[in-house]
Amino acid sequence: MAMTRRDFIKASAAASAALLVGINPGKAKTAQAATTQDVDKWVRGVCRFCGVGCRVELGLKDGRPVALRGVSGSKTNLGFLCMKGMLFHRIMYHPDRLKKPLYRERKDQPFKEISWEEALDIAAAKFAQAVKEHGPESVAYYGSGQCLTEETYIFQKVMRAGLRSNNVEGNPRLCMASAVGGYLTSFGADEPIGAYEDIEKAYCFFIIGSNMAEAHPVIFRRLMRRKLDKPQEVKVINADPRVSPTSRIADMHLQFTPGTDLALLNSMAYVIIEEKLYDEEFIKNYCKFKKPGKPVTDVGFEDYKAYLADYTPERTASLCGGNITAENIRQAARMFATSRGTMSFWCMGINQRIRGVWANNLIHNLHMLTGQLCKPGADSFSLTGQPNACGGVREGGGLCHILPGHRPVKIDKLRHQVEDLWGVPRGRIPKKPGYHTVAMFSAVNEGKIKAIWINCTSPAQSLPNCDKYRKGMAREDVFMVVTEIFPTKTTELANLVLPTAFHFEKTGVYGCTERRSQLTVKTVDAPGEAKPEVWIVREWALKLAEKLNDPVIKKCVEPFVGLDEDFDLPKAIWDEYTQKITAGRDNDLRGATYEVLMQMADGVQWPAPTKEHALKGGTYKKFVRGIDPLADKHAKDDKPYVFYGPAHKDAKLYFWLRPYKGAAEEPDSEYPFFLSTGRIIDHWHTTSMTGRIPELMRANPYAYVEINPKDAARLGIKPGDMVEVTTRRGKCVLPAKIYVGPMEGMVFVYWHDMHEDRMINRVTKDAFDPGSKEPEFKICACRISRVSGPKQLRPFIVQM
Amino acid sequence: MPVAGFVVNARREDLKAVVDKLQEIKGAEVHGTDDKGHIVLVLEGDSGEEMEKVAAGITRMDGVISLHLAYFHAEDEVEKIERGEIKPRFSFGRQHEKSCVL
Ligand code: SF4
Repeated sequence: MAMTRRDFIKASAAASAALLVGINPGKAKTAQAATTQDVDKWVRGVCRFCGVGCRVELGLKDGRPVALRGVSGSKTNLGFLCMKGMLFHRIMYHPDRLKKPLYRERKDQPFKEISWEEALDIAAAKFAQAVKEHGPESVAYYGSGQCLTEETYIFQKVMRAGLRSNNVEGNPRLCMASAVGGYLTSFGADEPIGAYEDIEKAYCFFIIGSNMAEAHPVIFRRLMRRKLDKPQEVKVINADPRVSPTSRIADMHLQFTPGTDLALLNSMAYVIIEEKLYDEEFIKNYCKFKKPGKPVTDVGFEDYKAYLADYTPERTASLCGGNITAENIRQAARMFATSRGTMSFWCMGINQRIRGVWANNLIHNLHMLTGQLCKPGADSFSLTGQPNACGGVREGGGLCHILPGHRPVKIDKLRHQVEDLWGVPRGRIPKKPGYHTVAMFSAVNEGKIKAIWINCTSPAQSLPNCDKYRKGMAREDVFMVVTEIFPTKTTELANLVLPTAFHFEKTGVYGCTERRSQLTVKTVDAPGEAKPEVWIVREWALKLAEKLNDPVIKKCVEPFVGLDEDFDLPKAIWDEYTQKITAGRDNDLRGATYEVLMQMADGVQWPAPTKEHALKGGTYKKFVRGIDPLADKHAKDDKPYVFYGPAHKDAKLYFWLRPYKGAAEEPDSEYPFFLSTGRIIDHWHTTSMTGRIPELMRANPYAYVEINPKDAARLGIKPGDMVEVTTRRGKCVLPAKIYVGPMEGMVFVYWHDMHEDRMINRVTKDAFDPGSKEPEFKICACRISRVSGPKQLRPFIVQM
Repeated sequence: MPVAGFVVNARREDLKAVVDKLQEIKGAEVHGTDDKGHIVLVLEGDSGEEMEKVAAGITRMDGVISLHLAYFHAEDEVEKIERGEIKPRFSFGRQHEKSCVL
């Protein structure tokens, strides 16, 4: 019987899946023929929906994207995708895409469509006016870990060297800043040492404060596969106050009271020392012990040991509560220390803490103590939420205190280096870091910031305690530009909304969690008049230069004038960034030119100082001689590892003696519950994208509050009942899900719902880590009460 | 009518039971299994919406550890969106619902 086109498509689907697991596709034998039936061609790119950085191929038919697939053997995802991979075409074609610049003089007026010429003129005039009247500190840029590296880089260049303002921030402050602080203070260099490929070499996984199964499903799959392939040899420890789908593959689940993580980590170190499971050689060769304070003092192993004396497993178990016993702290410590390769994974549960940097330090301490670093299958690996938080924001200078190439702005030598490389006068970039995120939006509230540009993120929804900051964004004397693909809670507060091109509608690089840069080239046209950000910034800067009569602003974008925005422009920006700015830095990307990235389907892991090295894929593991060319270059003896990170001149790793510290707001008699928040697999960030996909909305249409059955019984709450969650900042009303997920005394809310009643960040706390300035989203105190039985709810999405 | 290819990971001991159950699903075809618990599954649905429900249901089935996507084809749906036949089914209304703002 002849095959129909539909049969061919199904055969293709079967063949693609079968290939990933090496199964003979059976019925799909004709798949080879099928590949020409389903699409005209497949184009390569990287998935944009999270920090894993899966390689994908977009299928085009008559020039339109109609299909998507994974590619067997891809380095990051081995060809597997999660359900979010199915979203591309629905976002690209969605009728709600922003297609024209929109403007209103006052925020209580309706928007009207205007031309790009007018829009850029207004944006330039408003920023110029703010600078003239109130100085460079009155303007700000707030970007995103979803922006391409080229975009973040060019924006921050114009802000810093053009407008002389370090008010450059981005939403990675809300999720990654503590990890940055942890890597810098412990290892002297940001970002993980190892890579995903360590997963297949590891024998113990320590997952703390991360629901990988839902937030990073494809990495979780690798880990799950490893565990299932060697169920006896490979051990998985999951430490989290909440039982989540991640716990499914765990040998041991340590359920501790929120905020007691630092004690637990110190106690594991206590056991490792008490039972002499530490790696003396590693410590002697590579580590120092630091006692915090002013000044920081050098101490020794014995001091560290004495310091840990407070953290006996017995005492710690009673502090941690939950299901934790002294014996399981001991067991976990033994598994961690004695495995042939231990990998830790963590995410927001550790980073979004009042002492998130300390928590990161204490995880690193365990790896240093046991020598579980640099060898195959061992690493202290922080997971990233967004596709380009690492590549764009951490490396490209997207936070107020760092210049591109991992350079702290306050260090004169490094700042001058950047000024020289950009060809702008020394002193042009201010020495003082700008406002960090919470301070930035506080300054908006106070009317100190007069003009702010928000790019590809929705702070009106994603900031903690967001009601407080929405008031500032709503001020009539704050001019707000938002570049976006869809209407959001933030565009609602804007004066000027500029439509931007989406993924595959523009060209640029994403750098994922494992130091891997991958290029996606423009394949389809953006809808309407939507434009790539790099074009928007260049044109805006040229107008700014005119209005402020300042040739230095023009100088910032001069190398890019006249270049085609679809390819040559981002390429030239990438070239400047990599060839000039990353040269000689630890994230040296000189070898990873567009030409090389086009050849390397899986991209390149830095350091990649030369093309030869980049064409081999770059550096799988930092600091290891024979693998990392910079380790070879910086080596002073014949030891196998060289920790040349820019923040530690002595090339040592530092143990930090960090005490236990609870949450900023602990439950009390008035607010007796811990409130914790997180996200769900089918929704991502503030749903401005995935919320628009109807079937996903239906899978999980609402935020709900998870309540432990024992607490629910005590309070008379039944499944589906409407429950009021009240904190010191406000209240939300959500349906109840009665579930053994959260431990007793704790409730949990997913934070993707845009409905006012269910937008949980309106009530979370905006206390932040004094080191990383990252807010403690994860924990605050609340009370709960039943308001009614189940109610019909309506999903809510903003539309213009 | 979108078509998707998935790899389902079942617990080894439950493989047969899971395959049997998958074959009962309308629009589902099992294209192979192995002794690691992998199942090659093709789904076809009237709409992306329906498929999503089915896929979510599969992840909740006893014996299923995970479900990952390998291939997704949705040309018909693209055309429907382009022609304006598929509309978001809920109202995106602009009005604020401030019932609980303090
Ligand atoms: S895991 Fe992340 S990068 Fe991979 S397909 Fe899912 S959303 Fe995309």
